[in-house]
Amino acid sequence: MHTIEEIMNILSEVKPDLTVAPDEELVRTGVLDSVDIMSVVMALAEEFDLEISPLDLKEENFHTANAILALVNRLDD
Amino acid sequence: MAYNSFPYLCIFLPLCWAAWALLPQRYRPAALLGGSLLFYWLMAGGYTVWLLLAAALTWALGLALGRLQDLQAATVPGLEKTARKAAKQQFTALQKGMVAVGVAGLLGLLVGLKYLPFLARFLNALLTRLPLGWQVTVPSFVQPVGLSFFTLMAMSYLFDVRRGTTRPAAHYWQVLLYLSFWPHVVEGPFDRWAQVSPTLLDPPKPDYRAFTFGVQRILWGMMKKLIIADRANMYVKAVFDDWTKYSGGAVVVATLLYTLQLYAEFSGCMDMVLGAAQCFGVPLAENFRQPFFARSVSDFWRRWHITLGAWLREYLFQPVIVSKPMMQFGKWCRTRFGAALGRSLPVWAGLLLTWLAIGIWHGAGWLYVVYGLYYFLLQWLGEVTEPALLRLCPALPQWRTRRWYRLWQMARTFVLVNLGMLIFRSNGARAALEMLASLRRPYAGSLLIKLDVQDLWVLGIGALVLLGVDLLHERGISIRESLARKPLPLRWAVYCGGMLAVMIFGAYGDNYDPAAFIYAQF
Repeated sequence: MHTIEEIMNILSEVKPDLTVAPDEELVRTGVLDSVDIMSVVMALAEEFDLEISPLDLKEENFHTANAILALVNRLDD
Repeated sequence: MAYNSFPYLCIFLPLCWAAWALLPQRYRPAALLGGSLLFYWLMAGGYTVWLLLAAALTWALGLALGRLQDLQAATVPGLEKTARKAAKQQFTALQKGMVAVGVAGLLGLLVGLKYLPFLARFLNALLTRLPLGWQVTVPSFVQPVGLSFFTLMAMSYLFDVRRGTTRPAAHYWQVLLYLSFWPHVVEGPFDRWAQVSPTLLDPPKPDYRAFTFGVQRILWGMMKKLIIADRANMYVKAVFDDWTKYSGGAVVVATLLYTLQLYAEFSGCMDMVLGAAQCFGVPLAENFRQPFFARSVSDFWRRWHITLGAWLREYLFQPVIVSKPMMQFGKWCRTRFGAALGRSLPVWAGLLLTWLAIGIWHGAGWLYVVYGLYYFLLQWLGEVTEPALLRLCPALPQWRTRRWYRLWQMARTFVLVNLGMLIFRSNGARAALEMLASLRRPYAGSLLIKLDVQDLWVLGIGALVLLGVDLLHERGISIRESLARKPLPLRWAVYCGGMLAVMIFGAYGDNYDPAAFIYAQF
């Protein structure tokens, strides 16, 4: 199981000026655009050695840091 | 038979609706299919065979994919772990192979009929630089209407069946109806099988509200097309087709009018097709969402031709980014250029591919490559200059929440989009550059080109009405819902006013040159 701190670290690496809470909306508020999301995907795949398929690239998997954590834990199982 | 023509609006559409509404429920899809095939045949004649073939290939492969998935679900779970893994790999490889065959067939059709002459010209230009004396000759085909739409919709069907997000159609006619459905076969939108098939195959009962809302939307689309787009076309055509004669203000006015024309025409056409489909109870996808309220060019493309952007994002950009070669490219980039650049370079490579695809989808020519590159460069510059802007102006994040800054962002996006429109409408990449250069030279002649003062007044008021309607929609106000709550005499006064406006202010008759729908050529 991964932790929210690991996800927050990745988010701050991709977007250095980002300060969000784990449940704060990221996509609809425009905090993360499609380019940022794909950079997060690249970072997650590299950091956790995950295989992410196009089907995983849904808004609900990236709308908060907690949602990203849930995706990572699901893919890692 | 254009969507705004008399035969379509006064004969075809009422007859199809009457057949659809009067037939028993189980025969209604036959009315839709018969109407769709007749409409397409009237538009494309013998080239209808390409649509029939594309539907046959899509249906057969979709069905085979579904059968394989069923077989996999029935046999694989019972196997022991090693055999299960091996069987899963075999099933996956088979399914990928089927999708590859489908994509090759559909892309082959698209490339063969649309891009082959352009590719041959490009290849011959390269060959002339070699001392071999070789030249390539290719047959030139007539591009059937709607080719760029039905091939992409067929591909999305195969991708969705492969991903397991939708079940395949059991019968050929069902896929044929999905691809040929007349409201979306000429100019889109790119509808997904899962979204439209329930109401196409199992039609709802005729509904008064859906019918009246649909007719209202058709009327609104007619107003945009006939009052605004066809009138603006006169000025735009004169300047862009004879660009060497014009400069400065004339080019600026022509560019602004082209933006207005394209928006009024394409969104008007979408109103006509979505309205027609709504009369039959079929919910097609929205293709516009107040694009001139966009605050960046990427935001603009999330609001303009929405279904093309969504198609390319879902079936090109995202799969390319998470593909194994791109992941390996990302690793290679990280070892060479560090973590930050290593992560962003593959994403930018994917975006470049996507913008080029958006450009080339519009047509076979270098102009469209330049058009795609223009938007890629704007997005890329916006991203790479962001850190420097934040350093230069630490108050920027606060400014972005302010109203004046949002208005500035909208104005900036509007100007950039207009420059893109100038490139898009010009007669080739060289003409685009010359027209851009001519903006610095003042234009000495009259700005009333092909239009009189009254025409410009109609266009100005028309643009303000479009802006007002978009403003209400941006604020979440549904005009048709509000209208439906008004008393009957007021509602009918509005409908009659709309029809009178089309009859009085519509740009048709001896002094006007009726323009074909622009996106029908793509």
